[in-house]
Amino acid sequence: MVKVNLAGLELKNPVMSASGTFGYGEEFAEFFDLSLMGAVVCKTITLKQREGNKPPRIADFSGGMLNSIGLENKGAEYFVQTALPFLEKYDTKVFASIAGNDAGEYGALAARLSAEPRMHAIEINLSCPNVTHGCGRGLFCQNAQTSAQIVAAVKAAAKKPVFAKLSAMVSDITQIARACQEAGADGLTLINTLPAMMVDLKTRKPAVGNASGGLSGGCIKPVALKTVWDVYRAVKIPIIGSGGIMNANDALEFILCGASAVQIGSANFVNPLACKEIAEGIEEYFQKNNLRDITQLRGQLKI
Amino acid sequence: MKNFKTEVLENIKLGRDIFRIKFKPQFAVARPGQFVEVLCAGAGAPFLRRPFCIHRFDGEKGICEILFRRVGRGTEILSNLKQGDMLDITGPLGKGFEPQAAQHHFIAGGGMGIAPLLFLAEELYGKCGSVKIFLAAKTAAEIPCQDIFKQFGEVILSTEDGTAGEKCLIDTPLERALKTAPAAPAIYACGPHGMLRCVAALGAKYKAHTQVSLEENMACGLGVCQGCAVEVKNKDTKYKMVCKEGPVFNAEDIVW
Repeated sequence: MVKVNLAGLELKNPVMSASGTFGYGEEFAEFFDLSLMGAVVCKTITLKQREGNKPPRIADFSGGMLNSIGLENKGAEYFVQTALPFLEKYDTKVFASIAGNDAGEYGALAARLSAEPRMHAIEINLSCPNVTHGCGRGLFCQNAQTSAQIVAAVKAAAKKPVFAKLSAMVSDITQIARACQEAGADGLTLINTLPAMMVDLKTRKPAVGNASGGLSGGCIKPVALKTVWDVYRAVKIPIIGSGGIMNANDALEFILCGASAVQIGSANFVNPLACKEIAEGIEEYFQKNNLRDITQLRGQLKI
Repeated sequence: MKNFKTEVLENIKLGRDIFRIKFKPQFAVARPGQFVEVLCAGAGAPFLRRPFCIHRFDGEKGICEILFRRVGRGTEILSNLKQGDMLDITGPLGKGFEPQAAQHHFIAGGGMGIAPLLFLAEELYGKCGSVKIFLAAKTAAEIPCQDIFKQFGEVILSTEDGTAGEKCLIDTPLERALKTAPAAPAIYACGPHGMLRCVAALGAKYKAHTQVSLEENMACGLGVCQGCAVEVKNKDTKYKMVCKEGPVFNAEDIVW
Protein backbone atom coordinates (compact mmCIF):
# COMPACT_ATOMS: atom_id res chain seq x y z
CA MET A 1 0.00 0.00 0.00
CA VAL A 2 1.22 3.46 -0.92
CA LYS A 3 1.00 5.01 2.52
CA VAL A 4 1.28 8.74 2.95
CA ASN A 5 2.24 10.82 5.93
CA LEU A 6 0.48 14.17 5.72
CA ALA A 7 1.65 16.44 8.52
CA GLY A 8 1.66 13.56 10.97
CA LEU A 9 -1.59 12.11 9.68
CA GLU A 10 -1.16 8.67 8.15
CA LEU A 11 -3.24 7.96 5.05
CA LYS A 12 -3.41 4.38 3.74
CA ASN A 13 -3.07 5.75 0.20
CA PRO A 14 -2.78 9.19 -1.43
CA VAL A 15 -6.34 9.31 -2.76
CA MET A 16 -8.81 11.75 -1.25
CA SER A 17 -12.08 13.19 -2.46
CA ALA A 18 -12.18 16.88 -3.30
CA SER A 19 -14.55 18.93 -1.23
CA GLY A 20 -17.98 19.49 -2.78
CA THR A 21 -17.79 16.56 -5.16
CA PHE A 22 -18.37 13.75 -2.71
CA GLY A 23 -20.98 15.07 -0.27
CA TYR A 24 -20.26 13.35 3.02
CA GLY A 25 -19.56 10.07 1.23
CA GLU A 26 -22.94 8.44 1.76
CA GLU A 27 -23.99 8.26 -1.91
CA PHE A 28 -20.62 6.88 -3.06
CA ALA A 29 -20.67 4.22 -0.36
CA GLU A 30 -23.32 2.51 -2.52
CA PHE A 31 -20.72 2.08 -5.26
CA PHE A 32 -17.59 1.08 -3.32
CA ASP A 33 -16.12 0.69 0.16
CA LEU A 34 -14.99 4.11 1.37
CA SER A 35 -12.32 2.37 3.45
CA LEU A 36 -10.39 2.02 0.18
CA MET A 37 -9.71 5.77 0.23
CA GLY A 38 -6.89 7.59 1.96
CA ALA A 39 -9.30 10.26 3.15
CA VAL A 40 -12.74 11.71 2.56
CA VAL A 41 -12.85 15.49 2.35
CA CYS A 42 -16.39 16.53 3.08
CA LYS A 43 -18.47 19.17 1.35
CA THR A 44 -17.59 22.61 2.73
CA ILE A 45 -19.62 23.59 5.76
CA THR A 46 -20.44 27.00 7.14
CA LEU A 47 -21.56 27.80 10.69
CA LYS A 48 -25.18 28.22 9.61
CA GLN A 49 -27.12 26.61 6.77
CA ARG A 50 -26.58 28.22 3.34
CA GLU A 51 -29.14 27.98 0.58
CA GLY A 52 -26.72 28.38 -2.34
CA ASN A 53 -26.98 30.17 -5.67
CA LYS A 54 -29.88 30.40 -8.05
CA PRO A 55 -30.06 27.74 -10.77
CA PRO A 56 -28.87 26.72 -13.27
CA ARG A 57 -25.79 25.78 -11.32
CA ILE A 58 -24.08 23.42 -13.75
CA ALA A 59 -22.81 23.70 -17.33
CA ASP A 60 -20.26 21.66 -19.22
CA PHE A 61 -18.29 21.29 -22.43
CA SER A 62 -15.92 18.66 -23.73
CA GLY A 63 -13.00 19.71 -21.53
CA GLY A 64 -14.68 20.20 -18.21
CA MET A 65 -17.48 21.80 -16.30
CA LEU A 66 -18.60 24.95 -14.56
CA ASN A 67 -20.44 25.01 -11.25
CA SER A 68 -22.00 27.80 -9.26
CA ILE A 69 -23.42 25.88 -6.31
CA GLY A 70 -22.57 28.62 -3.81
CA LEU A 71 -21.64 26.39 -0.86
CA GLU A 72 -25.17 25.11 -0.24
CA ASN A 73 -24.97 23.13 2.99
CA LYS A 74 -26.98 22.42 6.11
CA GLY A 75 -24.50 23.94 8.56
CA ALA A 76 -21.98 22.70 11.12
CA GLU A 77 -24.38 21.01 13.55
CA TYR A 78 -25.95 18.90 10.81
CA PHE A 79 -22.46 17.88 9.72
CA VAL A 80 -21.49 16.82 13.23
CA GLN A 81 -24.71 14.93 13.79
CA THR A 82 -25.00 13.11 10.46
CA ALA A 83 -21.78 13.11 8.43
CA LEU A 84 -19.34 12.23 11.20
CA PRO A 85 -21.36 9.27 12.60
CA PHE A 86 -21.75 7.92 9.08
CA LEU A 87 -18.07 8.22 8.18
CA GLU A 88 -17.00 6.72 11.50
CA LYS A 89 -17.98 3.32 10.10
CA TYR A 90 -15.17 3.47 7.54
CA ASP A 91 -11.46 3.01 8.00
CA THR A 92 -10.47 6.27 6.33
CA LYS A 93 -9.45 9.73 7.46
CA VAL A 94 -12.08 12.44 7.59
CA PHE A 95 -11.33 16.02 6.57
CA ALA A 96 -13.84 18.75 7.34
CA SER A 97 -13.80 21.60 4.84
CA ILE A 98 -14.80 24.94 6.34
CA ALA A 99 -15.72 28.38 5.07
CA GLY A 100 -16.79 31.58 6.79
CA ASN A 101 -17.29 35.26 6.20
CA ASP A 102 -14.31 36.32 8.28
CA ALA A 103 -11.44 34.94 10.38
CA GLY A 104 -13.72 34.85 13.44
CA GLU A 105 -16.20 32.51 11.75
CA TYR A 106 -13.43 30.25 10.48
CA GLY A 107 -12.01 30.12 14.01
CA ALA A 108 -15.41 29.35 15.53
CA LEU A 109 -15.93 26.46 13.09
CA ALA A 110 -12.48 25.08 13.84
CA ALA A 111 -13.17 25.25 17.58
CA ARG A 112 -16.52 23.49 17.22
CA LEU A 113 -15.12 20.70 15.04
CA SER A 114 -11.92 20.12 16.96
CA ALA A 115 -13.96 18.69 19.80
CA GLU A 116 -14.94 15.85 17.45
CA PRO A 117 -12.60 12.85 17.61
CA ARG A 118 -14.16 11.47 14.41
CA MET A 119 -12.72 14.32 12.38
CA HIS A 120 -9.00 14.05 11.65
CA ALA A 121 -8.10 17.27 9.85
CA ILE A 122 -9.47 20.59 8.67
CA GLU A 123 -9.25 21.99 5.18
CA ILE A 124 -9.77 25.75 5.07
CA ASN A 125 -11.65 26.71 1.93
CA LEU A 126 -10.14 30.10 1.12
CA SER A 127 -10.87 29.89 -2.55
CA CYS A 128 -14.49 29.13 -3.44
CA PRO A 129 -15.22 31.27 -6.51
CA ASN A 130 -18.97 31.10 -5.92
CA VAL A 131 -19.29 33.20 -2.81
CA THR A 132 -18.41 36.84 -2.37
CA HIS A 133 -16.69 38.08 0.71
CA GLY A 134 -17.03 41.45 2.36
CA CYS A 135 -15.44 44.67 1.08
CA GLY A 136 -15.15 43.42 -2.51
CA ARG A 137 -11.99 41.51 -1.65
CA GLY A 138 -12.64 38.66 -4.05
CA LEU A 139 -11.33 35.31 -2.88
CA PHE A 140 -9.77 35.31 0.58
CA CYS A 141 -6.72 33.58 -0.83
CA GLN A 142 -6.07 36.40 -3.28
CA ASN A 143 -4.67 38.38 -0.38
CA ALA A 144 -1.66 36.98 1.50
CA GLN A 145 -2.43 38.89 4.69
CA THR A 146 -6.10 37.81 4.79
CA SER A 147 -5.10 34.20 4.09
CA ALA A 148 -2.57 34.30 6.92
CA GLN A 149 -5.10 35.80 9.35
CA ILE A 150 -7.64 33.07 8.63
CA VAL A 151 -5.06 30.28 8.83
CA ALA A 152 -3.82 31.66 12.15
CA ALA A 153 -7.36 31.88 13.52
CA VAL A 154 -8.06 28.26 12.55
CA LYS A 155 -4.72 27.04 13.87
CA ALA A 156 -5.34 28.73 17.20
CA ALA A 157 -8.66 26.92 17.59
CA ALA A 158 -7.89 23.58 15.94
CA LYS A 159 -6.25 20.63 17.61
CA LYS A 160 -5.91 18.77 14.31
CA PRO A 161 -3.75 19.31 11.20
CA VAL A 162 -4.90 22.27 9.11
CA PHE A 163 -4.69 22.50 5.32
CA ALA A 164 -5.33 25.69 3.35
CA LYS A 165 -7.05 25.25 -0.02
CA LEU A 166 -5.88 27.89 -2.48
CA SER A 167 -6.74 29.17 -5.93
CA ALA A 168 -4.38 29.47 -8.88
CA MET A 169 -6.13 32.73 -9.78
CA VAL A 170 -3.56 34.90 -7.97
CA SER A 171 -0.60 36.96 -9.12
CA ASP A 172 2.03 34.94 -7.22
CA ILE A 173 0.92 31.66 -5.70
CA THR A 174 4.25 31.12 -3.92
CA GLN A 175 3.72 34.32 -1.93
CA ILE A 176 0.27 33.18 -0.74
CA ALA A 177 1.56 29.67 -0.04
CA ARG A 178 4.45 30.99 2.08
CA ALA A 179 2.09 33.30 3.98
CA CYS A 180 -0.10 30.28 4.85
CA GLN A 181 2.95 28.27 5.90
CA GLU A 182 4.19 31.06 8.13
CA ALA A 183 0.73 31.43 9.68
CA GLY A 184 0.94 27.79 10.75
CA ALA A 185 -0.75 25.79 7.99
CA ASP A 186 0.27 22.13 8.18
CA GLY A 187 -0.26 21.68 4.44
CA LEU A 188 -1.81 23.13 1.30
CA THR A 189 -4.42 21.92 -1.15
CA LEU A 190 -3.79 23.13 -4.71
CA ILE A 191 -5.97 24.07 -6.59
CA ASN A 192 -9.64 24.97 -6.19
CA THR A 193 -11.82 25.47 -9.27
CA LEU A 194 -10.86 28.49 -11.38
CA PRO A 195 -13.23 31.47 -11.60
CA ALA A 196 -14.70 31.20 -15.09
CA MET A 197 -17.68 31.85 -17.34
CA MET A 198 -19.61 30.13 -20.09
CA VAL A 199 -22.06 31.93 -22.33
CA ASP A 200 -25.10 30.71 -24.24
CA LEU A 201 -25.09 32.59 -27.54
CA LYS A 202 -28.67 31.52 -28.32
CA THR A 203 -30.16 33.09 -25.20
CA ARG A 204 -27.33 35.62 -24.75
CA LYS A 205 -27.24 34.64 -21.12
CA PRO A 206 -24.48 33.26 -18.93
CA ALA A 207 -24.67 29.46 -18.71
CA VAL A 208 -25.06 29.50 -14.92
CA GLY A 209 -27.47 31.54 -12.81
CA ASN A 210 -24.75 33.32 -10.86
CA ALA A 211 -23.18 34.54 -14.15
CA SER A 212 -19.80 33.03 -13.31
CA GLY A 213 -18.71 29.85 -11.58
CA GLY A 214 -15.81 27.54 -10.87
CA LEU A 215 -14.11 25.67 -13.70
CA SER A 216 -13.04 22.09 -13.11
CA GLY A 217 -12.33 18.90 -15.00
CA GLY A 218 -9.51 17.79 -17.28
CA CYS A 219 -9.04 21.24 -18.82
CA ILE A 220 -7.60 22.71 -15.59
CA LYS A 221 -5.03 19.97 -14.98
CA PRO A 222 -2.10 21.76 -16.68
CA VAL A 223 -2.75 24.88 -14.57
CA ALA A 224 -2.95 22.78 -11.41
CA LEU A 225 0.25 20.87 -12.22
CA LYS A 226 2.25 24.06 -12.65
CA THR A 227 0.83 25.50 -9.45
CA VAL A 228 1.82 22.39 -7.49
CA TRP A 229 5.28 22.38 -9.03
CA ASP A 230 5.85 26.07 -8.26
CA VAL A 231 4.65 25.79 -4.69
CA TYR A 232 6.50 22.51 -4.04
CA ARG A 233 9.77 24.35 -4.52
CA ALA A 234 8.66 27.30 -2.38
CA VAL A 235 7.38 25.68 0.83
CA LYS A 236 8.30 22.87 3.21
CA ILE A 237 4.77 21.75 4.14
CA PRO A 238 3.07 18.93 2.21
CA ILE A 239 0.88 19.64 -0.80
CA ILE A 240 -2.32 17.90 -1.77
CA GLY A 241 -2.66 18.17 -5.54
CA SER A 242 -6.05 18.65 -7.15
CA GLY A 243 -7.48 19.84 -10.44
CA GLY A 244 -8.66 17.76 -13.36
CA ILE A 245 -7.47 14.37 -12.11
CA MET A 246 -9.48 11.84 -14.12
CA ASN A 247 -7.35 8.71 -13.76
CA ALA A 248 -4.33 7.22 -11.98
CA ASN A 249 -1.84 8.61 -14.52
CA ASP A 250 -3.11 12.14 -13.87
CA ALA A 251 -2.70 11.54 -10.13
CA LEU A 252 0.86 10.24 -10.60
CA GLU A 253 1.76 13.37 -12.59
CA PHE A 254 0.74 15.47 -9.58
CA ILE A 255 2.92 13.34 -7.29
CA LEU A 256 5.84 13.82 -9.70
CA CYS A 257 5.27 17.58 -9.48
CA GLY A 258 5.49 17.46 -5.70
CA ALA A 259 2.08 16.45 -4.36
CA SER A 260 2.05 14.13 -1.32
CA ALA A 261 -1.57 13.23 -1.91
CA VAL A 262 -4.25 13.95 -4.49
CA GLN A 263 -7.90 14.95 -4.46
CA ILE A 264 -10.39 13.63 -6.97
CA GLY A 265 -13.14 16.09 -7.82
CA SER A 266 -15.28 16.31 -10.95
CA ALA A 267 -14.15 12.82 -11.99
CA ASN A 268 -16.52 11.50 -9.30
CA PHE A 269 -19.44 12.85 -11.34
CA VAL A 270 -18.29 11.12 -14.51
CA ASN A 271 -17.25 7.86 -12.89
CA PRO A 272 -18.67 7.07 -9.45
CA LEU A 273 -15.83 4.57 -8.98
CA ALA A 274 -13.10 7.12 -9.78
CA CYS A 275 -11.56 7.30 -6.29
CA LYS A 276 -11.37 3.52 -5.95
CA GLU A 277 -9.96 3.00 -9.45
CA ILE A 278 -7.37 5.77 -9.06
CA ALA A 279 -6.18 4.33 -5.71
CA GLU A 280 -5.82 0.92 -7.39
CA GLY A 281 -4.02 2.43 -10.38
CA ILE A 282 -1.49 4.22 -8.18
CA GLU A 283 -0.83 1.01 -6.25
CA GLU A 284 -0.31 -0.88 -9.50
CA TYR A 285 2.13 1.74 -10.83
CA PHE A 286 4.16 1.60 -7.62
CA GLN A 287 4.36 -2.18 -7.78
CA LYS A 288 5.28 -2.28 -11.47
CA ASN A 289 8.01 0.29 -10.98
CA ASN A 290 9.32 -1.22 -7.73
CA LEU A 291 8.54 1.92 -5.79
CA ARG A 292 8.14 1.31 -2.07
CA ASP A 293 7.55 4.79 -0.79
CA ILE A 294 5.84 7.88 -2.14
CA THR A 295 8.98 9.94 -1.53
CA GLN A 296 10.65 7.98 -4.32
CA LEU A 297 8.28 9.63 -6.79
CA ARG A 298 7.23 12.84 -5.10
CA GLY A 299 8.76 15.90 -6.73
CA GLN A 300 11.04 13.68 -8.85
CA LEU A 301 10.17 15.48 -12.06
CA LYS A 302 13.24 15.39 -14.35
CA ILE A 303 14.04 18.97 -15.28
CA MET B 1 -28.32 2.24 -8.00
CA LYS B 2 -25.41 0.78 -9.88
CA ASN B 3 -22.79 1.74 -12.40
CA PHE B 4 -22.42 -0.79 -15.19
CA LYS B 5 -21.42 -1.33 -18.78
CA THR B 6 -23.88 -2.97 -21.12
CA GLU B 7 -24.41 -3.57 -24.82
CA VAL B 8 -26.75 -1.58 -27.03
CA LEU B 9 -29.42 -4.13 -28.05
CA GLU B 10 -31.11 -1.80 -30.50
CA ASN B 11 -30.96 1.85 -31.57
CA ILE B 12 -33.91 2.94 -33.69
CA LYS B 13 -34.58 6.29 -35.30
CA LEU B 14 -38.25 6.99 -34.65
CA GLY B 15 -38.57 10.37 -36.25
CA ARG B 16 -36.60 13.44 -37.16
CA ASP B 17 -33.80 13.53 -34.57
CA ILE B 18 -35.67 11.16 -32.22
CA PHE B 19 -34.03 7.90 -31.19
CA ARG B 20 -34.79 4.97 -28.92
CA ILE B 21 -31.99 2.90 -27.44
CA LYS B 22 -32.67 -0.49 -25.87
CA PHE B 23 -30.18 -2.10 -23.48
CA LYS B 24 -30.04 -4.78 -20.82
CA PRO B 25 -30.15 -3.13 -17.40
CA GLN B 26 -28.19 -4.52 -14.46
CA PHE B 27 -30.97 -3.63 -12.08
CA ALA B 28 -34.15 -5.65 -11.61
CA VAL B 29 -36.46 -2.94 -10.34
CA ALA B 30 -37.20 0.58 -11.53
CA ARG B 31 -40.06 3.04 -11.09
CA PRO B 32 -41.71 5.12 -13.82
CA GLY B 33 -40.13 8.57 -13.61
CA GLN B 34 -36.72 7.32 -12.51
CA PHE B 35 -33.76 8.02 -14.77
CA VAL B 36 -30.32 6.79 -15.76
CA GLU B 37 -27.12 8.77 -16.31
CA VAL B 38 -25.45 7.79 -19.57
CA LEU B 39 -21.82 8.48 -20.41
CA CYS B 40 -21.47 9.89 -23.92
CA ALA B 41 -18.00 8.77 -24.97
CA GLY B 42 -16.17 9.91 -28.09
CA ALA B 43 -14.51 12.88 -29.77
CA GLY B 44 -15.92 16.17 -28.54
CA ALA B 45 -18.13 14.38 -26.00
CA PRO B 46 -19.51 16.53 -23.21
CA PHE B 47 -17.66 16.20 -19.89
CA LEU B 48 -20.66 15.11 -17.84
CA ARG B 49 -23.04 12.19 -18.20
CA ARG B 50 -26.47 12.96 -19.62
CA PRO B 51 -29.62 12.02 -17.70
CA PHE B 52 -32.47 10.19 -19.48
CA CYS B 53 -35.75 9.06 -17.97
CA ILE B 54 -36.52 5.39 -18.34
CA HIS B 55 -38.87 5.11 -21.31
CA ARG B 56 -39.80 1.44 -20.99
CA PHE B 57 -38.66 -1.20 -18.54
CA ASP B 58 -39.14 -4.90 -18.08
CA GLY B 59 -37.16 -6.28 -15.17
CA GLU B 60 -38.04 -9.91 -15.91
CA LYS B 61 -37.01 -9.79 -19.56
CA GLY B 62 -34.06 -7.53 -18.73
CA ILE B 63 -34.99 -4.70 -21.06
CA CYS B 64 -34.62 -0.98 -20.53
CA GLU B 65 -35.17 1.78 -23.08
CA ILE B 66 -34.41 5.48 -23.30
CA LEU B 67 -36.03 7.86 -25.77
CA PHE B 68 -34.23 11.06 -26.71
CA ARG B 69 -33.95 13.87 -29.20
CA ARG B 70 -30.60 14.67 -30.81
CA VAL B 71 -29.93 18.18 -29.56
CA GLY B 72 -26.19 18.42 -28.89
CA ARG B 73 -22.93 16.53 -29.19
CA GLY B 74 -23.79 14.08 -26.41
CA THR B 75 -27.06 12.92 -27.93
CA GLU B 76 -25.45 12.98 -31.36
CA ILE B 77 -22.89 10.44 -30.12
CA LEU B 78 -25.66 8.28 -28.64
CA SER B 79 -27.68 8.51 -31.86
CA ASN B 80 -24.74 6.98 -33.75
CA LEU B 81 -24.40 3.93 -31.49
CA LYS B 82 -24.91 0.57 -33.17
CA GLN B 83 -26.14 -2.72 -31.82
CA GLY B 84 -23.32 -4.27 -29.80
CA ASP B 85 -21.67 -0.93 -28.89
CA MET B 86 -21.06 -0.45 -25.19
CA LEU B 87 -22.92 1.92 -22.91
CA ASP B 88 -21.75 3.09 -19.48
CA ILE B 89 -24.79 3.64 -17.30
CA THR B 90 -25.53 4.67 -13.72
CA GLY B 91 -29.01 4.01 -12.40
CA PRO B 92 -31.78 3.78 -11.65
CA LEU B 93 -31.73 7.23 -10.07
CA GLY B 94 -34.20 9.60 -8.44
CA LYS B 95 -37.71 9.33 -7.18
CA GLY B 96 -40.42 8.36 -9.67
CA PHE B 97 -44.15 8.98 -10.04
CA GLU B 98 -46.44 7.79 -7.27
CA PRO B 99 -49.67 6.36 -8.72
CA GLN B 100 -52.63 7.86 -6.92
CA ALA B 101 -55.75 6.01 -5.81
CA ALA B 102 -57.93 8.01 -8.22
CA GLN B 103 -60.76 6.97 -10.52
CA HIS B 104 -59.22 8.81 -13.45
CA HIS B 105 -55.60 9.28 -14.40
CA PHE B 106 -54.50 12.04 -16.78
CA ILE B 107 -51.04 11.71 -18.27
CA ALA B 108 -49.70 14.84 -19.97
CA GLY B 109 -46.53 14.85 -22.05
CA GLY B 110 -45.08 17.72 -24.06
CA GLY B 111 -42.22 17.29 -26.55
CA MET B 112 -39.63 14.84 -25.27
CA GLY B 113 -41.50 14.92 -21.97
CA ILE B 114 -43.37 11.91 -23.30
CA ALA B 115 -40.24 9.79 -22.60
CA PRO B 116 -40.99 8.68 -19.00
CA LEU B 117 -44.75 8.55 -19.51
CA LEU B 118 -44.97 5.33 -21.52
CA PHE B 119 -43.53 3.34 -18.61
CA LEU B 120 -46.03 5.12 -16.35
CA ALA B 121 -49.01 4.54 -18.68
CA GLU B 122 -48.17 0.85 -18.81
CA GLU B 123 -48.15 0.67 -15.02
CA LEU B 124 -51.37 2.65 -14.54
CA TYR B 125 -53.14 0.61 -17.21
CA GLY B 126 -52.72 -2.57 -15.20
CA LYS B 127 -54.18 -0.96 -12.10
CA CYS B 128 -57.53 0.73 -11.53
CA GLY B 129 -59.41 3.57 -13.17
CA SER B 130 -59.37 5.06 -16.65
CA VAL B 131 -56.26 6.53 -18.25
CA LYS B 132 -56.34 9.53 -20.59
CA ILE B 133 -53.05 10.36 -22.28
CA PHE B 134 -52.49 13.89 -23.57
CA LEU B 135 -49.54 14.13 -25.93
CA ALA B 136 -48.43 17.43 -27.41
CA ALA B 137 -45.56 18.70 -29.54
CA LYS B 138 -44.71 21.36 -32.10
CA THR B 139 -45.49 18.99 -34.96
CA ALA B 140 -46.75 15.43 -35.59
CA ALA B 141 -43.25 14.02 -36.31
CA GLU B 142 -42.25 14.85 -32.74
CA ILE B 143 -44.80 12.47 -31.19
CA PRO B 144 -43.11 9.22 -32.15
CA CYS B 145 -44.82 6.48 -30.16
CA GLN B 146 -48.50 7.41 -30.06
CA ASP B 147 -49.52 3.93 -31.26
CA ILE B 148 -47.84 2.26 -28.28
CA PHE B 149 -49.46 4.77 -25.93
CA LYS B 150 -52.87 3.81 -27.40
CA GLN B 151 -52.54 0.34 -25.88
CA PHE B 152 -52.70 1.86 -22.41
CA GLY B 153 -55.42 4.49 -22.63
CA GLU B 154 -57.26 7.05 -24.67
CA VAL B 155 -54.74 9.26 -26.49
CA ILE B 156 -55.56 12.93 -27.11
CA LEU B 157 -53.13 14.69 -29.42
CA SER B 158 -52.42 18.34 -29.95
CA THR B 159 -49.75 20.08 -32.02
CA GLU B 160 -48.78 23.70 -32.47
CA ASP B 161 -48.96 23.39 -36.27
CA GLY B 162 -52.08 21.22 -36.39
CA THR B 163 -50.37 18.29 -38.13
CA ALA B 164 -51.72 15.89 -35.50
CA GLY B 165 -54.80 16.25 -33.33
CA GLU B 166 -56.04 19.66 -32.38
CA LYS B 167 -54.04 22.77 -33.32
CA CYS B 168 -53.40 24.12 -29.84
CA LEU B 169 -51.24 23.74 -26.75
CA ILE B 170 -51.82 20.88 -24.33
CA ASP B 171 -53.79 22.97 -21.83
CA THR B 172 -56.82 23.25 -24.16
CA PRO B 173 -57.76 19.54 -24.29
CA LEU B 174 -56.54 19.00 -20.74
CA GLU B 175 -58.78 21.72 -19.30
CA ARG B 176 -61.73 20.49 -21.35
CA ALA B 177 -61.30 17.02 -19.85
CA LEU B 178 -60.80 18.38 -16.35
CA LYS B 179 -64.04 20.37 -16.64
CA THR B 180 -66.08 17.33 -17.56
CA ALA B 181 -64.38 14.75 -15.34
CA PRO B 182 -66.91 13.27 -12.88
CA ALA B 183 -64.31 13.26 -10.11
CA ALA B 184 -60.96 15.02 -9.72
CA PRO B 185 -58.37 12.96 -11.61
CA ALA B 186 -54.71 12.53 -10.76
CA ILE B 187 -52.39 14.29 -13.21
CA TYR B 188 -48.89 13.10 -14.12
CA ALA B 189 -46.94 15.45 -16.37
CA CYS B 190 -43.57 15.84 -18.01
CA GLY B 191 -42.45 18.41 -20.56
CA PRO B 192 -41.04 21.91 -20.97
CA HIS B 193 -41.07 24.12 -17.88
CA GLY B 194 -43.72 26.49 -19.26
CA MET B 195 -46.05 23.60 -20.03
CA LEU B 196 -45.59 22.14 -16.55
CA ARG B 197 -46.30 25.49 -14.95
CA CYS B 198 -49.51 25.61 -16.93
CA VAL B 199 -50.48 22.03 -16.02
CA ALA B 200 -49.73 22.78 -12.36
CA ALA B 201 -52.08 25.77 -12.48
CA LEU B 202 -54.83 23.67 -14.09
CA GLY B 203 -54.32 20.96 -11.49
CA ALA B 204 -54.72 23.50 -8.70
CA LYS B 205 -57.79 25.06 -10.36
CA TYR B 206 -59.58 21.71 -10.65
CA LYS B 207 -58.24 20.31 -7.37
CA ALA B 208 -56.45 17.46 -9.13
CA HIS B 209 -53.40 15.93 -7.44
CA THR B 210 -50.62 16.83 -9.86
CA GLN B 211 -47.14 15.37 -10.15
CA VAL B 212 -44.54 16.84 -12.48
CA SER B 213 -41.21 15.49 -13.66
CA LEU B 214 -38.66 18.32 -13.82
CA GLU B 215 -35.44 18.77 -15.73
CA GLU B 216 -32.35 20.72 -14.67
CA ASN B 217 -28.69 20.76 -15.66
CA MET B 218 -27.15 17.97 -13.64
CA ALA B 219 -23.67 16.75 -12.72
CA CYS B 220 -23.55 13.77 -10.35
CA GLY B 221 -27.16 12.55 -10.54
CA LEU B 222 -26.71 11.14 -7.03
CA GLY B 223 -27.58 14.06 -4.77
CA VAL B 224 -23.96 14.89 -4.03
CA CYS B 225 -23.05 18.04 -5.93
CA GLN B 226 -26.17 20.13 -5.24
CA GLY B 227 -26.13 21.19 -8.88
CA CYS B 228 -29.67 20.49 -10.08
CA ALA B 229 -31.47 22.78 -7.66
CA VAL B 230 -35.14 23.64 -8.03
CA GLU B 231 -36.83 26.25 -5.85
CA VAL B 232 -39.51 24.80 -3.59
CA LYS B 233 -42.12 26.12 -1.17
CA ASN B 234 -40.47 24.78 1.93
CA LYS B 235 -39.51 26.50 5.13
CA ASP B 236 -36.44 24.36 5.80
CA THR B 237 -34.63 24.59 2.49
CA LYS B 238 -35.06 26.96 -0.41
CA TYR B 239 -34.00 24.36 -2.95
CA LYS B 240 -34.46 20.66 -3.54
CA MET B 241 -32.37 18.53 -5.88
CA VAL B 242 -34.00 17.24 -9.05
CA CYS B 243 -31.74 14.17 -9.14
CA LYS B 244 -32.42 12.81 -5.68
CA GLU B 245 -35.56 14.43 -4.28
CA GLY B 246 -37.06 14.42 -7.80
CA PRO B 247 -37.22 14.40 -10.74
CA VAL B 248 -40.90 13.91 -9.86
CA PHE B 249 -42.35 16.48 -7.48
CA ASN B 250 -45.82 17.38 -6.33
CA ALA B 251 -46.67 20.39 -8.48
CA GLU B 252 -47.94 22.38 -5.51
CA ASP B 253 -44.50 22.20 -3.85
CA ILE B 254 -42.69 23.97 -6.68
CA VAL B 255 -42.11 27.72 -6.92
CA TRP B 256 -43.31 28.30 -10.49
